[in-house]
Amino acid sequence: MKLKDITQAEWTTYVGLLTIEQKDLIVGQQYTTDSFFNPIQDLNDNWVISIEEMNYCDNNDYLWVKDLDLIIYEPKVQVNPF
Amino acid sequence: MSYYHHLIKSAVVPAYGALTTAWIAATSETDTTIISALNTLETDLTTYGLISKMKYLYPFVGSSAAKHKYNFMNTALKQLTFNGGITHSANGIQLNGTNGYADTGVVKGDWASLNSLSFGIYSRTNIQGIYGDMGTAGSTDDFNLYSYAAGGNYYRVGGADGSQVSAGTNSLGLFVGNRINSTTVRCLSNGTITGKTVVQAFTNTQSSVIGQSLFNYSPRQYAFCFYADGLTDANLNNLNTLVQVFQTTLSRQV
Repeated sequence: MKLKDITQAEWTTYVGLLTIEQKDLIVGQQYTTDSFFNPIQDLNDNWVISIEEMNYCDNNDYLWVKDLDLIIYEPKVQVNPF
Repeated sequence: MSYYHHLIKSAVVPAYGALTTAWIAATSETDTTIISALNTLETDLTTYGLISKMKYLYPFVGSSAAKHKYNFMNTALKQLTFNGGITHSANGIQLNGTNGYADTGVVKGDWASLNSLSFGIYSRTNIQGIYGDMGTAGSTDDFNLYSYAAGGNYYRVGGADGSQVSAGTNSLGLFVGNRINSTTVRCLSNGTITGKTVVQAFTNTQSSVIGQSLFNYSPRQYAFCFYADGLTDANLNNLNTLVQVFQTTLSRQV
């Protein structure tokens, strides 16, 4: 599944799947003005980015993120600080 | 333009406060509703005696990351860095609940006294859960704000002992974590003030972020955020009023 296959209502359901090499390429880089990629690991330790980062990316060096395969986002267990 | 036309034009240009004028210069903002709202905000902060207590203030106006990053109190300081999935609009910053947050760069050394500090945020999204509205990204100590988490609103302003829990039925409006001296925490939850006595010192050294705490990412939309010195109960009530006026002027109040 790709970015073009989902609706905006499904943005929070899916994430873009990265290889470790791809993650290393985009860490600390801007995907659009004043906004930076923030790759995270999901419950299964896959490196992923959000649909917003893929969709809003207009940095010519990283337009390839728009073609990442999508997977359903499974978050890590939340930490209760209290 | 003739000399007389110049005089007429000069006569009708409104005079704005120093902070609003600086904001316009930094952002090139031309929207008169936004400028008027900011100018009223500046006037109200002055009227209520809050202007000298306010350290960093993010009004989230202008609909873009390029404008939302600015600190109204000094546009050259503590500009936000946006990370992960965030959608910017006239209603503020919408975080995605997956990996989006804004780094402020605000650390404990930015306050003159660690026993007198406050921080707060205006949420437009009503959703219950363990979502970090403000706090530190990866440290359990000292500096967190979770509105409408399981069991209520949680504030931590100084060690585990500094935790303040108040009853909460929604995550809408202004929420403020506030420490006024070495032993007292007074927090605001959308118009209601609660407090407790604490004994632990405030020790946090990490940069404060918006929309995340301990990697608990928020799915909420925020329309105002600030860091200030400790606030009296009167300050808290006045701040709640002026922020609501600000949001109403921008047609985004909750």
